[in-house]
Amino acid sequence: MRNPSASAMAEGGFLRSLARKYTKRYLAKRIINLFLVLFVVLALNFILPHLMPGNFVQIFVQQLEREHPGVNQAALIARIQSLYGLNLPYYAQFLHYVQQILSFTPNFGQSFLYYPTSAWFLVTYALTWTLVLLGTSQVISWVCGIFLGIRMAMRKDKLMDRVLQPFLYFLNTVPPFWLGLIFIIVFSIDLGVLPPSGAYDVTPTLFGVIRHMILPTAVIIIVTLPSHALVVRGVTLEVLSSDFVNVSKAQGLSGRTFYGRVLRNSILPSLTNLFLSIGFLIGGIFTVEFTFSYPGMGTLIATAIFNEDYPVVQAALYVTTLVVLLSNLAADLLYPILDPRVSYT
Amino acid sequence: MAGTAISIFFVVVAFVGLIYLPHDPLQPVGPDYSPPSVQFPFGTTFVGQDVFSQWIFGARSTLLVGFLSALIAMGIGVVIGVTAGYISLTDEPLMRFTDVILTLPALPMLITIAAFVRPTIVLTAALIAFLSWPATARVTRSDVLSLKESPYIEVARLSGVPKRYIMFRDMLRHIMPLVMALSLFSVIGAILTEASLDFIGVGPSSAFTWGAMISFANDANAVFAGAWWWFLIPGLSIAILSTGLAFIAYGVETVLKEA
Repeated sequence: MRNPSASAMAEGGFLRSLARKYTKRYLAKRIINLFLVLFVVLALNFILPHLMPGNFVQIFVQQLEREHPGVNQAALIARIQSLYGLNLPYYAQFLHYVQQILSFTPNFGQSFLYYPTSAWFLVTYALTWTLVLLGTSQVISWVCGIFLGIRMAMRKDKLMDRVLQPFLYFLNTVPPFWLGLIFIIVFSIDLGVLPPSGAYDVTPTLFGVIRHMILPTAVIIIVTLPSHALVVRGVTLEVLSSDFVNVSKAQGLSGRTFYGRVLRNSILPSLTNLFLSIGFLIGGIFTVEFTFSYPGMGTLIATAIFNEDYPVVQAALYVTTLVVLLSNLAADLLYPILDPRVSYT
Repeated sequence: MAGTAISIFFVVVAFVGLIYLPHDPLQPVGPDYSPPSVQFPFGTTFVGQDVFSQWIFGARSTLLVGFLSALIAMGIGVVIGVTAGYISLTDEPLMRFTDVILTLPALPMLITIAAFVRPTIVLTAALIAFLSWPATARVTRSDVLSLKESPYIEVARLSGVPKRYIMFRDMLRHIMPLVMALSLFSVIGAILTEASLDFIGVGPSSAFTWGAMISFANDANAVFAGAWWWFLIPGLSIAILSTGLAFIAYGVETVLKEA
C-alpha cells in the first residue's frame, strides 16, 4: 500500500507546514485520534464473532472439541459466556468485553489450538520475534534509504536518479512474500547457504538466530527501502531549495560539510515517516514471516486462521494495533525533542 | 508511454481469457511439475494444471479486485473530501474521521475480518476500499479548499447555483483528473492487499487471482520441489502491472502540476 505521508511530502511545503502544525492542540488531537482508533479495533473485535453464521459460542466450543476431544463443554460455554457477558444487554456486553481486554493481563480467552494456553501469552511471545525483525530491518532500511534518497536528490535528473526512480517504484510494488519465496529457492535450495525457515536451530544460539534472520530481514529491507528513499528524496529537494542552502553554497561550502548540513535537515522528517509508516509496513512483514515460518505474529496469525483459532486472531489484531499506535505516538513525541525549532507550546 | 503499454497488455490478457484459454485452468491436463515447455509455456502445477492458462484466467479477478476497490475508494474519498473542503462546518469532524481510518493497520484488520466472515471477491474489494479512501479524501479536500477561492466558483455562488451543483458538478470537473490518476495507486494497493490475504489464507475462496496462484504454490510446497515456474510469473505480473500503473499516475500527476 502506498504510504500517504510520502505523497504529502511530495506535495511540497512539508517542512514549513510541519513547523506550524506542532502545537499543544495538535498533540491533543493526535492523542484523541489514538483512542478512537483503539475504540474502532475493540468494537470490531467485539462485533466479529457475532457476525459469524450461526451461534459463535457453539462454533467456538465445537472447534475446541475438534482440537482437544474430551474437554469439559459446560465449563467452556460458561467461560465464553463470562468473557463476552452474553446474558447482558448489548451495550453492557461491549463494556464488559472492553473491561476484559483493558484489564491486566488482557483476557482474550484461551487458544483453541494450544488449549489451555491463553491467547495473550502466545501473541506476546510472537510479538517479540516480530519486533526483532521489524527493528533490525527498519534501522538498516532507513539508514540506506537516507543515503540513497539524498544522493538521488543531489543529482536530480542525472543518470542515477533517472534509473533508480523507476526501479524503486518497481521494488515498491513487489509482493514481499513472493520475493521471500524466490529468496528461499535461490539462497536455501539452490545455493544452500541459508536456512529457509524458522528462527533458530534446535537450541537458540546467537549465531543461529542471526543466520535465520538474514533472509527475512533482507526481503523486508528490499521492499521497504523504496518508501524511505523516495520520502528522503522529496524532503531533500525541498531542503536544497531553502535559503540556508543557498547561503552555504555562497559561502563556498562543498563536499562533506555541505553534505552534512543537508543530511541533518533531511533526517528529521524521514524519522517521523519511519514511525508513521509502521502501520503500512507491518502487514507486509506478517506475510514475509509466514513465508519463512518465522515464529512471529504473521506465522501465528496464519496458523491460527488455518486452525480457526479465533481468540488468537483477535488478540493478534489488538496487539498489532497497540504497536502501530505506540509508534505513531513516538513519531509525535520524538519530533520536538530532536528538532529544537519545534516545541509543544 | 511504457506505463500505458504495460497496463493495456494486462487488460488485453484478461479479456483474451474471457474468449480463449489454452487449457482448462483448474483441471489436470499434463504431467505433474512439468517445467516450462512448448506445450506448457509456464509449466504445470503439482497436479498437472497448466500455469499459463491459470495466469490468463487469474488476470480477470486480479484486475477486478484492483479496479473495483479503487472505484469504491474514489467514490467515498471524493464525497468526503469535497464535503469537508466546501462546507467548513463538516471539515473538522470529517478530517478527524479520515485520520482515524488512516491510522488503522489496514492489512491486519482485513485479515481478522476475513478470518471471521470469509468474504466474496466483491466484498473483499469493498472492505479494502473502506480502509483505503483517506488518501483520496485528503487530496480532494486540499484541492477543493484552493478551488473554493477561485473567481468562477464565486460567480456561481453569487448567481445562486445550488450548493450541491457547485460541489459535485463544477468542482468535480476540475479535480477529477488528478483524483483519477491518484486512484491508480489504490488499484496497486488493492491488488497487493488481496494477494496478501490470499497468501495468509483468507482470500476470497471462489475467485482465482494471481495472489491465489502464489498461495496455492506455497501451500503445495512448490518451493521445496523447485517448481519456481508456478509462482514466478504471477508475482512478477503483479509487480510489473503495478509499476505500469504507477508510471501512468506519476506522469499524469507531473503534467497536472505543471499546468
